[in-house]
Amino acid sequence: MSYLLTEDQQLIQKNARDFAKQYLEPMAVQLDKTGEFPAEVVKKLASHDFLGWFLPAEFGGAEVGYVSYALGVEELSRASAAVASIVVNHSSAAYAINRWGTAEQKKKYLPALAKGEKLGAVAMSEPGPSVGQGPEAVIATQQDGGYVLNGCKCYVANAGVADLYVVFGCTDPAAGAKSLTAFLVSAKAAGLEVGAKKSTMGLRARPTADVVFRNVAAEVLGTVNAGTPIAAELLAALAVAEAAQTVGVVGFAVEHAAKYAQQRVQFGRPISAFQAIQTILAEVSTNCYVARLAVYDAAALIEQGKPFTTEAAMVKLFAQRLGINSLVETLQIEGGYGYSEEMFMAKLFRDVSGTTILESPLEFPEQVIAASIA
Amino acid sequence: MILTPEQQEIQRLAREFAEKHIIPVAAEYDRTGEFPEFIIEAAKKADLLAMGIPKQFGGRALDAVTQGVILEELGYGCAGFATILGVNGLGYYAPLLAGTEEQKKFYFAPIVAGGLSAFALTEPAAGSDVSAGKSTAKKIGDEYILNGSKCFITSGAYAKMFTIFALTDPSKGLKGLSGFIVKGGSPGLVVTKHENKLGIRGSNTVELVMQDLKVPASQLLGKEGDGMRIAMASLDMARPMVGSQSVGIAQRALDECLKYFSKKYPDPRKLGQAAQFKLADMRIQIEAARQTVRHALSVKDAGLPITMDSAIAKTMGSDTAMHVTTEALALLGAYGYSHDCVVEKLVRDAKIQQLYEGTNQVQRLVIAGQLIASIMPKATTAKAGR
Amino acid sequence: MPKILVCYKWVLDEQDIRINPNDLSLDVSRAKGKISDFDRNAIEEAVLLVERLGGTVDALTYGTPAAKQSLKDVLSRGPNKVYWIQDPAAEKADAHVIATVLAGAIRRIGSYDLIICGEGSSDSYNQQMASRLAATLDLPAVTFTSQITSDNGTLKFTRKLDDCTEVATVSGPAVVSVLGEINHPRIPGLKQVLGASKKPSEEIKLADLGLSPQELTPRAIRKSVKGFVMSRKNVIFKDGDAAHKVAQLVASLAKEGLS
Repeated sequence: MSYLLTEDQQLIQKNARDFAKQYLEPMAVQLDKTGEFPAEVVKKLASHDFLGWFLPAEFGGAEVGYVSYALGVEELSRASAAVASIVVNHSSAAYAINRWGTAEQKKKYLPALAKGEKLGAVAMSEPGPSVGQGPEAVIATQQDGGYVLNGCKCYVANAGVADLYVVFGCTDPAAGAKSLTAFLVSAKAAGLEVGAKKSTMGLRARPTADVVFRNVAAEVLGTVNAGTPIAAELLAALAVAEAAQTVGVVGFAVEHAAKYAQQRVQFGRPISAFQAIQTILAEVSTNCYVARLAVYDAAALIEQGKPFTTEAAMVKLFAQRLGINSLVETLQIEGGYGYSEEMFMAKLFRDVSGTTILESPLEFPEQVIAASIA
Repeated sequence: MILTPEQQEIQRLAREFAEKHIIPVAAEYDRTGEFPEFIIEAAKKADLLAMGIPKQFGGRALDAVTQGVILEELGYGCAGFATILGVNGLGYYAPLLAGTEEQKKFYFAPIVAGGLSAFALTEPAAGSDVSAGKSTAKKIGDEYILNGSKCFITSGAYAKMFTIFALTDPSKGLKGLSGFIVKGGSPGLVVTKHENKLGIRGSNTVELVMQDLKVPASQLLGKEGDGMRIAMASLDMARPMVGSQSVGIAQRALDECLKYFSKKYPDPRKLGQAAQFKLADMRIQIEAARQTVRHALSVKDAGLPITMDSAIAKTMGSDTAMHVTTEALALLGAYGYSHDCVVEKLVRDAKIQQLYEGTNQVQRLVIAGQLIASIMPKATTAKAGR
Repeated sequence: MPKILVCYKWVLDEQDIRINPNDLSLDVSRAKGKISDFDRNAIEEAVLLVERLGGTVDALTYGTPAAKQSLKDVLSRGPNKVYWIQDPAAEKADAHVIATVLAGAIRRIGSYDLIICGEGSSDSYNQQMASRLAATLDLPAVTFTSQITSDNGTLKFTRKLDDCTEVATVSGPAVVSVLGEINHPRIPGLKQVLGASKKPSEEIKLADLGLSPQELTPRAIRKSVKGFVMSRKNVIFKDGDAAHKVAQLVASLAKEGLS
């Protein structure tokens, strides 16, 4: 794919790969075992500008395009999808502020996010049927010239380590999604409580927790009641970055399985000589190749400021199928050894599904795609 | 296929057993990887250890379909636990198929008394390729001395009885493989490693080393050279059981989705059509797999050759479990990915079903082999039968 | 405040090179380029020195047109400016020709306090460049350098030799070659990659160096390059008891030359 990339993008890709090799590879297994938040690595990421990818230079960001960002995410994910996930969720919050924030909000929040001095998170999912519905929905009420939030967000990525949350709440429960509004909330705000860290299948070093809001002060991001289109675009941009993660994990898994197949001898030959294995490798790498092109096409649309939500939804749909289905096959190649937690494949198997979680599993992305076609 | 009232009652009891003994603790054993030793006694009390052992040896002599139904319920509870109890069968099938009356008595007694059995065929260099096995059995006087190593052996650290395969005549390759029944704890039979696995973590999986393991000649199953035939016949019987267990895993995944949606949607009809169709597809696949597995088991009960149906049942069951559990994981989003939900465990438990007791690639070799054999040109002009 | 020049080579990344099992020939069709490994150490050392002592770092390379890909890469690692000479014949150049061209360019560009290069290149590893440059430019050469420190303005070079380490100082300009262990090249951050576009690169035309065709003709000619594959002897000792098999193994090893 390098012929599609500029010189800068190729250099960024190479540097991200070198970074992943040097700093992430040695600790990926340990991070997965302990689930400990890799604070030192986050500092290292910051020093390489990997927490302010596409943010404007005037706020301390690197101002590289979304394609470079996706390339970096893919490379980091090859070594540790958990660490890459911390970056992706943080960057999603930064994207929101950069895209919809006022000049004051950008000046106030972006520099610290760009430098990694503060981390971000986006809180969307709720226990109820959909955002704004159910007794625990996050409702925003006006108070003292501003807003306060009450309710619960669940499974928030980066919860507990984030300093700043982008939170979606409804100003009018009766109006539902039509009153959805994006807010900025400081982690230190009174009444904000982060629940116990969730134990997850994979991506263990990336914290996940519920966040409860009790009269928590919040400032509007964007315009009141304009949260639905904001959420749609934000989730779409996030989907592309997450799909880059999936491609990174799957790409590495294929290479790992191929190497194994060349070394494992059965029936007098390396199993890579058998058509059964060749078929599996061919299918998985083909799907990965196609997914990768789709990711970078969508990333290029974002970089060029073109409409991208349909393409992002397609990328998400494809990546979701690609992820676990590929790992089912690559682990199969490695047989009993692949099933052992002492080999790397089992960890990749557990990580990959975490890269393609749907925020509202039953609505997006098929509906988004269909809406644009019919 | 419709279950008889007796089978339905046994199914209900098995479901109760899973709900009482397995489901409440499965997640914790999965987390720690500790072996649930208590289940051996509980299974003995519920008569689940000797399901296929003939009555004259104290077993329950259940037909294969009924055994499969039980395993489906145990798999529903936890595949790790089901593997412990299911592989028990794989261990004792060998003496059941090829043992003398004394050998059967010798092998079955400790199982019936409340013990596990293990089946030791796989070696580090011999996974799908059994012929690459290196373990040897040298006859000296009236005993065999076994040397070699086996890996990925279920219940190896806890089994009271083992069925072990080794080469009595290495120069003959597979035709020189023999099967032995060995008492657990025999000197020279050493557990060297416990596997840390992605799933079925409650099940014990070990590496075994045989160092001058002395086995009386009376414990040779059949004749020297019968080993491959006995091993394959045992696996033929066990494979539909893997299929059954897999159907249980898949059914659990579907039920967990329904449970989740009943909580999340006060009015479940509000569940979108796309999601409803996904649930319907899961149900279709589970039923198809269930009936395929039960068919293979009923062919077994009819005393007919089962190699083909057994391979189909194992493949269909395990592929279905893998597909249904991953669909469920996608449907349940972040909740499904967390340990608040059992579905991510079901995905991990489903994966091994495609691998052990013959990978699904080996199953396809078996099936394709039979298909190809059916279209081979005949040597004579005799009319081709079906 | 030293004025430093780093000479580097743009080479094929060996991990992309495949060996054809039939004739052991190399398939380089998918090989990307990279800065030769120890040259990366050289660039890093120069940049570290200048970070400590002030001064400037320029970079210089002689290579095929593909070397153009190296310019941004090099600049993103800290040098202020990069010079390059492109020549399709560079691929076949021997160490003598390369040193002649580089020296010619250096004479054109100006004088430096320190000229640094890697101990050897990742592809041919001749280990001749520092010595040849020094001889041609009439400068002292300090090779096998594992550390450079500054002591009251004097640079001290630690040389790692086979059976000892030597510390040397030089008065006046010198050519230095560095070992891989001298430092850990930092990975450029995003801003450094983007910043590279703003730094100058200058192409020096080979014709402007006034070198004769004879000076540019390699005299060491590479006839062929084959891959090295470690083949296993696959000898199995299976007859007899353990003692006999061990005796056979020992005899076999002795025959291979192990004693």
